[in-house]
Amino acid sequence: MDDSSISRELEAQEYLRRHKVLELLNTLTSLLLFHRPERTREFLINELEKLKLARVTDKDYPSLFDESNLVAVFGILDPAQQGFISVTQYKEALKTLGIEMTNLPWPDNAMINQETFKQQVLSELKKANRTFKS
Amino acid sequence: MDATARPLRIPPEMGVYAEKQKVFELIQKMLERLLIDRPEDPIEYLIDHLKNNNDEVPRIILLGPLVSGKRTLAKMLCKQLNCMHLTLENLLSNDSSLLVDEAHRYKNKDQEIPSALWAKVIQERLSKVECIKKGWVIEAYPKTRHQALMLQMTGIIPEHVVILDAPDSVLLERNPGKRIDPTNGERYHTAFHWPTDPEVQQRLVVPEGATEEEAGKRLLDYHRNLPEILNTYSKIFKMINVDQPCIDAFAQVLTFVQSRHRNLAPHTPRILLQGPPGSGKSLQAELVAQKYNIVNIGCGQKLKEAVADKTKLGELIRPYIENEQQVPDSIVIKILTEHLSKLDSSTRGWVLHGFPRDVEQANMLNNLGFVPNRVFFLDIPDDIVFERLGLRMTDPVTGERYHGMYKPASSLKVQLRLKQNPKHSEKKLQLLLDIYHANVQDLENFYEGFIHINADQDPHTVFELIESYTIKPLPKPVLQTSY
Repeated sequence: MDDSSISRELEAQEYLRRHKVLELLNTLTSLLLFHRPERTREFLINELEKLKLARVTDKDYPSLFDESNLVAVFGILDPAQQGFISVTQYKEALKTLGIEMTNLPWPDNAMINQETFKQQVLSELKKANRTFKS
Repeated sequence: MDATARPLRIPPEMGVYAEKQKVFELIQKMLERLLIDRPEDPIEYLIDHLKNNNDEVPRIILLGPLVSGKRTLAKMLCKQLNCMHLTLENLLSNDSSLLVDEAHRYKNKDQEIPSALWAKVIQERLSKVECIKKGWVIEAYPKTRHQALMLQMTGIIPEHVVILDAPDSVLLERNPGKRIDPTNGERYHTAFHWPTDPEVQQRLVVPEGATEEEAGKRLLDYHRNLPEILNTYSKIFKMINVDQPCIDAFAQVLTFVQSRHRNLAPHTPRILLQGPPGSGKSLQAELVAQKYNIVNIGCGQKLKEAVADKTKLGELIRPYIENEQQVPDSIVIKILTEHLSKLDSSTRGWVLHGFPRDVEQANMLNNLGFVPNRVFFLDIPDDIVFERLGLRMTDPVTGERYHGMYKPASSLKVQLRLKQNPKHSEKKLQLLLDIYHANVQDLENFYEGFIHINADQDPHTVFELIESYTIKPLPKPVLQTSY
């Protein structure tokens, strides 16, 4: 491979990264497979329109998970109904939801209650679903 | 995450859905377009792309030496596929474009039009709505590797490249007969394609450079450049021999441009083999199952297994099998469901044979959600069935199998004690064949996209055919059937 094709490849990768194209396509594919709509194209156009709108208003990003899912995840992690989970469990939860870990807002030995868990994960989800150039 | 630590359980419906709706191809195309055009606003761009809905339209480049019939075939192709036909002449006939004006300036000065300009002209033309919506056939361009690369740089990437091919001697012999209608550029030939209208006959002219010397030079030029062009399109071109009637060549071109290229989409084979007795269904099923690690489900075999295992259903069908009666559909389908819905069948895929025998059974199978994605009909003439099965003999002493034609007994002593399986008597075979022939038409109508395979050849040739159809995506449906 000569230099020019390498630089073109790098350019392409840079483009994908900058516009978060792979994340966007991932979200779209999971939405497709989860909802399994009869008319794929219309569904995708719809989701993209929603994303476009969300980019302006900065809320309601198209996502597979909503609040009730988060409550359910919390419930699984906290079977004894203590009302708290540990940071390790929180990390595991993010992994399950397919969210890339960023820095933690809490110390490693903190206990997280349901409300903070929900808020934190929602904001992480939002970050993950901002699949466009920021 | 370590994939081996926890196996991902993906519901089978997702796979079936993705395959049916071609999710992989859809997303792949989106990514491809994004990477080619790299728009500043990918979301807006993708919405436009999805609205265009033109993933399936033909994008074809048709190349060939002189008098190979490029124009005629391209015309037929465009008519059949209902797409736009781009030739070098009609690309330059657009007056309102600045780029075309520039090209004309080169032409008037008798200079070559640079490849970059050509690429821009073509790009401009292809971005018109009709080309986007309907697809296109570019004829006789690119002529050199540089031109091909320029096209690629501007993001014009064909899906199929058709190369017309004929021996030089044939072309040189054909060349003097070429005539052109100066009013519309239509091509005719004195021997092969003569217009019926006398008025048209009157106005035909001999094209420039029809001398043998000139033609030889152009051929040499063509042969010099072709290998490099092919190199550029190495995965998507096909040579079509045009030293045959126009209609035959056209049929080959059409089959090629309607084929889809292989891609990496995950795919679970769900194969159905149909065919008369002795067509090699179980042998082929076994070969496919072995090579691709999928589950082999032979209907008759599974019924016998059930009886031998003394399962509940087995006990139920024992009297039918013993009395050689047809087992009721409802029980057969239950046994098959048991096998088809096992985890390994649904994740790895299956190959089913010996069932369904009629449309009613096929319907039942579909209603239960077991829809095959490849249906093969193994075709074989009746007399070959008799030859294959009717002459098959078994030695009752050693258990060795012999065949009257392919594998005769080693000695007269053995020959005399050979016995035939009662299942293979002429009367029984005829009965089975009659049942098959009575239903085959209906089954064909039931399954769309079925594939016929001539099973009267070497088993491994048949296997290769089945294999190639299984791993390649099914061809695009024919848009129009009338010429």
